[in-house]
Amino acid sequence: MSRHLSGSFLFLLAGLFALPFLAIALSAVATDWSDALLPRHIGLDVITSVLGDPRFQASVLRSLAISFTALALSLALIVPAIVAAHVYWPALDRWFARLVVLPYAVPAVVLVVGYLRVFSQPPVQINGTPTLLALAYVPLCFPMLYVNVKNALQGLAVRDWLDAGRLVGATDERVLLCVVLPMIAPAIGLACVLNLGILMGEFVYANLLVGGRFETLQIYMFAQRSESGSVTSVIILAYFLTLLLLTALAIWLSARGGTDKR
Amino acid sequence: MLSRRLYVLPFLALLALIVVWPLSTVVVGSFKPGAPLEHYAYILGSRFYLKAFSVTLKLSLLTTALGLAIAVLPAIALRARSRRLSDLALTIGNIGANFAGVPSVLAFMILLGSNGIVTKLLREAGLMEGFDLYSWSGLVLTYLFFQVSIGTVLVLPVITAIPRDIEEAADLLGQGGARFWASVGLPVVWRQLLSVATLLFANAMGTYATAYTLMGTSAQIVTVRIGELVAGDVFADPGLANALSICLLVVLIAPILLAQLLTAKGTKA
Amino acid sequence: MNSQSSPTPRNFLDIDRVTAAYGETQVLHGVSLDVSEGEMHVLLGPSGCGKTTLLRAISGLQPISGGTMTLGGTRIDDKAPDKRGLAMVFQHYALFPNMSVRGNLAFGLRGKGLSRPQIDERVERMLHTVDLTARADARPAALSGGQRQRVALARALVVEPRLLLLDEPLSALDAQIRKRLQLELKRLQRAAGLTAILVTHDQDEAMRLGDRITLMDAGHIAQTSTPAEIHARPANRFVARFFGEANILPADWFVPGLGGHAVVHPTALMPAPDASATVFTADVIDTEHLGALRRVNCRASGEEIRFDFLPASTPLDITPGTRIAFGVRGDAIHYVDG
Repeated sequence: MSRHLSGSFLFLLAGLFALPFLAIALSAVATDWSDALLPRHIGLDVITSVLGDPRFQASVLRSLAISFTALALSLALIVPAIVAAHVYWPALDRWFARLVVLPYAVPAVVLVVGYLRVFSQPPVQINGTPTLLALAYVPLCFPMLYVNVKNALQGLAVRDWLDAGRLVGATDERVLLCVVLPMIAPAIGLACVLNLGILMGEFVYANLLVGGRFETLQIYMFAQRSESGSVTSVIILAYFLTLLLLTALAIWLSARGGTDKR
Repeated sequence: MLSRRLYVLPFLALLALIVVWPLSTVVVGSFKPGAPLEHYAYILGSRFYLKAFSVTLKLSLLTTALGLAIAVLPAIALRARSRRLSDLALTIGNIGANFAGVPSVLAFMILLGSNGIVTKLLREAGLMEGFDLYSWSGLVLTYLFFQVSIGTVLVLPVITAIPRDIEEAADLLGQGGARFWASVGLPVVWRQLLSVATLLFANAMGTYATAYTLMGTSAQIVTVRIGELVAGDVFADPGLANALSICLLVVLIAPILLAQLLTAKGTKA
Repeated sequence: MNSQSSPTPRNFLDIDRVTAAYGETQVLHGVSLDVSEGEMHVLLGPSGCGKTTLLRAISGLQPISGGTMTLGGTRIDDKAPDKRGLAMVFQHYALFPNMSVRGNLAFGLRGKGLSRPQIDERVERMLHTVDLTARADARPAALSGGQRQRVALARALVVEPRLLLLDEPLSALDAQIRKRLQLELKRLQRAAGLTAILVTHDQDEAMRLGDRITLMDAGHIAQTSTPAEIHARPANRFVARFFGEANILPADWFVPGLGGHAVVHPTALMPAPDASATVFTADVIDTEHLGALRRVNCRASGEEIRFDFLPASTPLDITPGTRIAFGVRGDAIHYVDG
């Protein structure tokens, strides 16, 4: 009885969640839906026109470029740091989780206020440039990377491997690169995919730091808010499908990582 | 051994450059030279900014409470079901969280805006009199979207982690179902739920994209006020923006500290 | 100088007054130990006694704060771990999971001035020795516990060490495989004439494998002897008690006025004493079956006494509560101070 009740409750919730997306999907293919209950024409012309829009394409490319730059930078900075703290600096390691969420503990708007002050004058005058945006995105990647890499490290006998390496004259770096890195690579890959989703969806920094000077996907979407329903529907649908794709990739990666360990 | 600790330095340096340095200039800049508290006094005396704080606070508190409640119920319902269904719910919650901000607000506009699909349907049916997405109810709705998404992601593991045997024990004692959750289940995890609530609250207080996309600078939301001060050409007043930021930080961090104090006391007892 | 050949050291490995500490805590208090060439030397002791620290100090992975170590006549304590000419098998093997068995073996040979074919040749030979040629391309995760153990051993031996260090190499295995591998390990070590130091906390394993055993206690060496000797003639009560079963009785039971304790093994007690024996009476508490032997727990003058006998050969009433007589031959008693 209560099982049926909770079942219908879940079903209702799932329906509530799915319905808007169905409506938006319908709206994306409907061309003339201004005054009737159901659209008069259904076609792919809006979809092709939006996807073919150079401004849309450019914004996607900018978003990808800035995300990959920030991801690469954050990887280079935090992966060695996590491993070094894990192996050589246990005292710092205990604080790492807190350090990593620091950028998230402060609202982005507040940090932006600081950036505009700090980076609008020498020595680091990069205000309004994509460089600053990329830099601002770097710490956003830290928590995902930390959680995944740290989890992966905890299951590994890193100290024993280093000892085994030292006995045959292999530097710690060689063992870390040849053994530890391959072992944590799946976790890093998963974190990268999840971070890509976060960065592609970032709006606050993009809007306040570069705005229209460097139109990312989110800025482009924001600018289209006053366009017709079908145009925004197509954009939202495209974004939603991208998120689904990233999610599927993440699920696939984590499933593969799970079987690798066995 | 010691020298390899240097691998941590670039990371720490970046944190200093990108978080600590800007944040400290915000703190320092919030005090006006000569008249340190002038910006703060101005904010406390300004109806405009006090209103923004009260609206943001109300909105955050309301959507945190509603969001948590909406997230807890399916979590309880999912507990009795397969692991895969929970994983699916977690995935949906994650997608929702990624969808928050501009895309979700645009979606709401397509559906419920003045020319929205659902609006038209409901208007034809004679319902939806007086509903306006670009108002308080619209803010509540759009905020709820991400509160429920993030809430689901955070609450689901907490509810799932309640040991099954205490539920079975309660069942055998005739205290199953709602009585179990009211008297045992939820009290067992109240600490985690409280910390989830503070996270949701802090996130709502600090969010910008949702309100700004929905209502632009006319949104009476603290983050939008701050954004307007730093981005707008006319009103630009960095000192005031700094002080507003600090006020926001205080309002946002206070409940987190309070909750930690509360739960710390709880564990000692 | 050149014409004079260096004197052959009496001892292959010579550890002299080595001390080591973890921060403030001293873990090795001036340990001295000699190991002969071709010997399997077992370091035994309860956890925390310093046996693993001593092994790691020999390997160079644990820095020492005092003392010297020489191997084959050369000082090693001032050398880097890889320059000491030794290899180690780790407790949990520390195999590289992302490399094949072959890759694990080859890892330590690279960068040593060996050519590719030379490395391959040595790896193949070692794979053959430990009978793993068929699994050479498998990852460690695909191997059984025993196979992994053999890979670990092969990885250590392939660098042709002068001294092999084994840190509880069999503790991760279950009892059955463990016994078989103890035998294998011993045969391999004998056949190759390897000098090895093995750390264990298991006294049976120590007895089975060791040519000599060093029992450690709180950073000191309690005794170094052959298995038979350490069992029969423990140096003190700690050693006697560590080898578990022995009765430790007041010495003046046997020699009136003598201080200290007498160590008497359960099998040395005779339920049917002859004339040469000192005779005691005791009350039976209970009995246990130990395979072929029967263990009797009894009490005499406030001391609990265990003795074992072959029930077939000795008809004896040992129901709990009965009083029995037993004797001890003088030569079966070992006296210790304190």
